Amino acid sequence: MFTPDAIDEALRALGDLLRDRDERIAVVAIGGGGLLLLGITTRPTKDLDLVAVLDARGMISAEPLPPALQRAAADVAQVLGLADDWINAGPTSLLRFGLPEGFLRRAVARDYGGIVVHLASRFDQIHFKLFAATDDRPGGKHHVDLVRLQPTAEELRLALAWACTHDPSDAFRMLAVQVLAAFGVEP
Amino acid sequence: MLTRLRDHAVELAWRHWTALGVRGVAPAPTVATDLEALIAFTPAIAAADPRLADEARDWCVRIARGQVAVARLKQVARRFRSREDDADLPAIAIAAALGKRPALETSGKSTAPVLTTPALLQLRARHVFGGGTRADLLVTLLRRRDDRGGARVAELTGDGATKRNTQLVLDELTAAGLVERVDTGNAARYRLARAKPLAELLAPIPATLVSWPERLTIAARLLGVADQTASRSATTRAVELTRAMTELRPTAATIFERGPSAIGIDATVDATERWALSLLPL
Repeated sequence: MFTPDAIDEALRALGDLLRDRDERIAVVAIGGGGLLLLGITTRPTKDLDLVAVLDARGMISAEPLPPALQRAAADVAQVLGLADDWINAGPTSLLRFGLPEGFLRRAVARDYGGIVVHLASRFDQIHFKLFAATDDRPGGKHHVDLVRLQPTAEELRLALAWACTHDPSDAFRMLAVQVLAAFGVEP
Repeated sequence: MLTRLRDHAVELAWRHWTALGVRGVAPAPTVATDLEALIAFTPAIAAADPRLADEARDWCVRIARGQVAVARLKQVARRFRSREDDADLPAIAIAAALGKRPALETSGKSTAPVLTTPALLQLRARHVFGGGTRADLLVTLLRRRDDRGGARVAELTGDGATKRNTQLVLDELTAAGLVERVDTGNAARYRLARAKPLAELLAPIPATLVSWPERLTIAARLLGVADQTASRSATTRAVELTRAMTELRPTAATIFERGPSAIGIDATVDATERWALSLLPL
């Protein structure tokens, strides 16, 4: 599991390795790993979730990861004793229905040499965490993260609107509204 | 990078080259010398000590004939992936051993080895039993004399020897009563039947007998990685050392070594260096 120091060490190692190999890759991270790196939470996480790779075309699917990144990540995993999927494209399907408007403008860039990691802002993480918490059990890790993000009522309402574009079903909306209710917020 | 290993390897090489007759003031090695492994290894540390490289070249040009086992050196040098050009030390030694003394200007300071030096067991055995498989095989059996379970033919077949030839010599030595055959299941294993008289014949036996080709191959490879990654990050160095160790583990296993085990960038480099140092007793 990654602590804040451990995830930073892994990314520094990854950046060193990619720079030594004359590679420069930009990625966009969300999820618990991103929250750790922003110092919003200290909850250990098992991986760093990439939602996109950033190139001249803009944000593109992180699946599959660029080969140079895959190779370097595997090398770092071996030396640091990490899981093979410590950096992965798990949430990249979120790109299909779009990230919150202005996402990249708000993202926080961390330069590790051969890799630049754009971390989803607190505002955008509220969106992703509401989306995830809706499918999570009450009191689960996504709920806990959402509480730590200390969202305002307005932020939760905006997050709800965005989340419903990804799952327009009534059932989803009903569950998401229940999450808002736990914060004392009405839609 | 891997400075301790490099310094240690240079010291080791000086000790063995000095024992062989190179002009130097290094203490006598406590471990038996392996001439062919030393020749093949020396280019790996030549840049770290050009004078050692020069003096080793002088020895190879002027003294190698009658000392070097050519077939074995060719085989051992392959382990080190030595460059196959005439300037390479194994190539010089092979040419000299075959009587084609290379036209190289050298220091002229080397002298013929004093064969009663304890570390020169290998050369002493070759002078007693003749060059070739028999002498080297007896030294190998002597090195393994405490392994009462014996060794299979494949384990006793040294660089430059064939399994068939090793088997023939073992059969002869067994018939002569110097070696005994132990059948374990389907496998025949061999051990010295008369280790003490053989040791007395070849005395003085150095304090330690190890198999050098594997150890020096590992050291050379790791030092090569250190050279290649000298201007790179610590991460790249750790990754490349880990990669090299993956390749070297089968070699390490043949000398009953498992290799380093560490997690972390600095820890990987440090553990690899400490392990490699442990392979090179002085």
